[in-house]
Amino acid sequence: MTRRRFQYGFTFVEAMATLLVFGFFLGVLFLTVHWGFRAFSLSVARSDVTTEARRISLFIEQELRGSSYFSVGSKSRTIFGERRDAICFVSRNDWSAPGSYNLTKGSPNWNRYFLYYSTTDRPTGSFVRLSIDPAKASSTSSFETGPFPFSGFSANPDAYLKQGPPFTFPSEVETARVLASSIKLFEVKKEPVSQNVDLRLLLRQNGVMARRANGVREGGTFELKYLVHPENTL
Amino acid sequence: MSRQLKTGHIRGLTLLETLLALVLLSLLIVGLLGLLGSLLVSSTKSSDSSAGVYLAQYELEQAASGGTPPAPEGGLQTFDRERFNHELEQAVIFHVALDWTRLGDIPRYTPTHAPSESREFQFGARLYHVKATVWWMVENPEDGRAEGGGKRTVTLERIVKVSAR
Repeated sequence: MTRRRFQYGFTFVEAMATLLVFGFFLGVLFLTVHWGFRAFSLSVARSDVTTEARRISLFIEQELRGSSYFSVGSKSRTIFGERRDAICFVSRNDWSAPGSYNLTKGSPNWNRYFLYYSTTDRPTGSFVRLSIDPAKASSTSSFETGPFPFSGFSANPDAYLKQGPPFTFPSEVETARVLASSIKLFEVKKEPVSQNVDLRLLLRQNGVMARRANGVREGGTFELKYLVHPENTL
Repeated sequence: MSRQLKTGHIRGLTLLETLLALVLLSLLIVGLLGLLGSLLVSSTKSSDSSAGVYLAQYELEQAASGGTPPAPEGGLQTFDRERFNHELEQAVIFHVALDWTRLGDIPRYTPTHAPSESREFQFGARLYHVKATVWWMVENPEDGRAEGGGKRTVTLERIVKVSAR
């Protein structure tokens, strides 16, 4: 007497039902994962541009507010219909120093110029802050620091508005710092009557996996408008 | 996972068990990825709030440099502003209300240390308290199901000196 060994597999109907269920499960999983990554990518892009906007405002608003309106020089540049301006104004490197204010003149002892500009890269440029110490170039030229526009920038702005990195600036540039890398638009407007400076920034960063059905890239956008009155306008 | 039967045969999972496992796994993954949706909503709200604060600051600065109250005794000004803080092609509409309250007409005052003197008030006669309220509607960027949606508000206040014209 021999023992018969039965092998029992799936029937065709069982196999089809399993594949159907598994296919449905994979479809739902794929859609969910895709949506999740898209949401994550959008969140990161939005968070990034907001952080960059806050960083820019922290520097430029405070420094421009302590400056003098008569020292504000600007250079207007348009790249493919988008403004990528530059602004330069007088300031101090350290406001807490004991000799920061000239009591006789009734004004701060200016010793730096700050220059902010956006590079002209496409689709977005970098936002660069230069600290310029005219005393560093005093042996070769006659820069003076005062509540008037920086003569070096007024005479030859292109010497300072470098694309980069690597940046190669004139010797009087003390430090160069990139504050943001998602600048779509930077517009500077001087208002002579009210002696205010109107700044407009548009930051944009595309999401990595965020694309709509029509192919348009989604991402983070942040528009920043500033109206600053330089308080040391005397 | 297999189980040893008394007869020595190895029994696999039934279809029902497999289905149950898949359903549980799906629920877990969907739940985890749902958190990313909350992240998107949070970043959108954060971005809107920042834009609202910057806008309120901008409007207060406008009011302080050449702004005029709707009436000498103060009053309410309302208007809308657009800011691009989601996508480039669609601006978010922010509603702005500037509430002007006159603090008093005090062109001159008497210092406490010199009661016989009458001095000109250094801030001028037309001093106003201005309250800037910015509000906007939070909509889900996906389909309007955002938790915490609805009306969001930012309020800033400051004292403003209005030059006589």
